[in-house]
This record gives sequence, structure tokens and C-alpha cells, in this order.
Amino acid sequence: MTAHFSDEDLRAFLGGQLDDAAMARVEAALDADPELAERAERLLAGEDLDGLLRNAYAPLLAAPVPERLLAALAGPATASVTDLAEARRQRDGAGGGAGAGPAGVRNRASAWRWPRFGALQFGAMAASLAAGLVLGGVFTAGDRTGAGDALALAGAAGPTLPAAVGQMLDTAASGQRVRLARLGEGEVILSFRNVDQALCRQFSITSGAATSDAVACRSAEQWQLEALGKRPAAAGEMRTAGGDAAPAVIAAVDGLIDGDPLEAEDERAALNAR
Amino acid sequence: MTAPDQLRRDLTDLIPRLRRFARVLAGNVADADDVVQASLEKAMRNLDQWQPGTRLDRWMFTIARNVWIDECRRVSSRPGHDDISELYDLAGDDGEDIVLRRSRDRAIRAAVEVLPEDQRVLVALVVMEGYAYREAADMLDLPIGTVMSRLSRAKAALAKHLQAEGVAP
Repeated sequence: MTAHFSDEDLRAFLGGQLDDAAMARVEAALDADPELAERAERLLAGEDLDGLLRNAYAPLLAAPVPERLLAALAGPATASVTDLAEARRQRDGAGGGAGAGPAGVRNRASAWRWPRFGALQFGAMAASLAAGLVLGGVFTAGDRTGAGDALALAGAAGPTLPAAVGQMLDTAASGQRVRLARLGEGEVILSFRNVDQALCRQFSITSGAATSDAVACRSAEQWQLEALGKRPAAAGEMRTAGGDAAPAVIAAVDGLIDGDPLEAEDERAALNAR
Repeated sequence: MTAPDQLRRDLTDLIPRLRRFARVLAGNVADADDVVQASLEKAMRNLDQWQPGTRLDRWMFTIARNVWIDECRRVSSRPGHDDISELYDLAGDDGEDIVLRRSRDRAIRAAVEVLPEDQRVLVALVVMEGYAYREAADMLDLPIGTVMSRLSRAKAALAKHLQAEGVAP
């Protein structure tokens, strides 16, 4: 059964002047009948109350925008490797941190974030990081002509890591070499906490003549890749902690880290905690 | 201009409307600006989730609404005073008329503030921002009939409140 509502009925509804049962009937009819909804909407045009309401808040609309709201837009979407130094200067200059401490690590209470992978698709990022970071798609470990398997797989929420890499990040101590089937030899370099106190790890995977460096942070379900870089494999056995990694990865660690890298026993505790 | 710069421009242009929207929800400008700041930061972190070519304003207001619900809605740490009064420009206005207008506007804002929150958000989206009922329904994930009946209740309550105060509609 279709009820027909007159303009009078609709006006009464729109003015909130019907009893609850009648309001419910009209409400149901509006849900069911788009034409009725359109009629109701037209009836409300030119309502005086609307104008009064808008006027009452107009001063806020005309007021100058506070600095902190403009600053909220000055953030990460186009942060590039070359901009990080500038961003750090601005942040530390504004009193956001203690500046560089021993061994170049710093403490800070900053809200600056390395952008999620998707945001890296914009602008200047692409040009400056073409040699290193992957912008969606598949990045293979090992040299280009080799048969290396994918190190980073394009996923809906950004790149994800193969299970073997996740396993290494979950269990391997920093400095321990791990053989990863089809990917090469992996090694975690260091562990740290980001400003959200999530556990992050810098690691590398060497296959043939090339080494891939990366940083990943652990969210509830999985390791999220934050940065990825590539370089020729280091000659011989000597590698300093994080010092030789691809620049994009060093920059990512620097941008993410809250405090100092974890000491061995803190790292062990963090890995055992899950 | 690169894509992110254009986006920043467009988002900057939205700030006054976002402040007004958040002010209707939050009841004072300081809390409202907290909502807007958190919303802008969240938008910047999630730009990859906005589809170029779709309505940036709808996306942004939806974020602001969610930020209000998820993070900011609570008993205000800054209760009580009507801070919009402070934003009026004094220069060059007829004295008596402006006093009456300000008094009326204060009464209107006070009436909005006592509305239930689910009505206030619709006053903000439909009356302030001018979204159609269909759009507001999509943004809030509500049936259109619910949107219309909540808004009509809101307007009835406001009209009644204001008539009692001697402020016409």
C-alpha cells in the first residue's frame, strides 16, 4: 500500500509537528520513495531558520586561519630524502626535540611521520627515489637479470613482505645472518621504536651482486614496509651498523626513530613479547 | 604545480568551513580547532585513499566527523564561554543594531549546542554546508529518511527554543 502525502503533510513532518507514529510513517515513505524525498527537500528551500543559523556562525567562517591548522598541512605528503634535513631543522628549531645526541641519534616528541607508501606516488618523490624506493608494483631481490623473487609485493594497503622475511624480522637478532630461500642472505641490522612505539627493524638481503636494504615496522598483523633501497653488495665481511645502507633507508630510519636503537637485551625482549 | 601542492591549496581553502563544522560539533572554537588539526593531519597521512576527481570536500568532512567521534568527543576541557563573540568585527557598525544581532546569534548558538549530537551533525552538514539530504545520508551512512526526520526534529527544537527567547524565525 502506498500512502500519498500532501505538501501540507510534508511541511508538518519537516517542521517536526507530527506525532511519533506519523513521523515514523513519513520517514519510512521517504526512505522508500526518492521522488517523495525530492519533494520534501524542495519544500525546505528558503527556510528562514537556515539563514539565521548560518549567520550565527559566520564570524568563524570569516576569521583568519590559525597558524597551527596551516602547519597541519605542511607535513609529509611530499617529504623526500632531500627534504628530510629541512624538515628536521624546522622541527628541531621549533623546540620539537633535543637535537642530535651521541652517535647522531636523537630524541624527539615530534608528530612527523614518514609517509605511507601510497603517498609516495606524488610529485618530486618519484624523481629523486627512482633508483631506490619502489612505488607500487614488484621489486625483486638480486640483480635485474637474475631470477630473484619478489622482495616486496604490491598489496592493497601498500607493499607487503614475503612470509620468510616476516619470519626473520620476528625472530632473528640483529647481526645474525639468515638464509632466505630464493631471496638470498638476510641480516637484520638494528631494531628501534618509532614515535608510536611500534617495533621497527632495518635489514638487508643480499643476493648475487646486489643488496636490498629496507626498514619495516610491525603493526598488529604484519610487518609494514617503510622504505626500500638497493646498492651493490658490500665487499667482504665488514659492514658497520646501518652505515652502508642505501641512503633512502638511512633517511627512513632517521625519520622514524624515537630515541636510540634497541640494545641487544631490549631487542630480545621485544622479539619475545609476541 | 605538483599534485600534492594543489591538494594542499584545496585543503587550505576548506579550513574555514571545517572550523565552522567542527565548532557546531564541539561547542567551542579551541576544541573545534583540535578536531580540524587532527583531521588535516589524518588527511595528509591518508592522501592515497582519496580518489582524484572525487569530491575532496566530502572526503574531508567525513574525516572530520570520524575524528570527532573517534578521538575528540568527550566532556570539553574548555567548557562554557561563547568564543565566537570574540570574532566579531567592531569597526563601523551601528551600535544598537549590532548588540541586538549579537545577542540573537548567541541565543542561536546556545540553542544548537543543546541539540543531541546526531542532530547537530546534520545541522552542520545540511544547513551550514549545504549538502543535500542524499549526500549527508551517504557521508554518514544513514538512510535518507533518518536524515530528514532528525533534521526536522532539530529545526523544530531550534524554532521552539528561539521563539521562547523572543528571537524570530
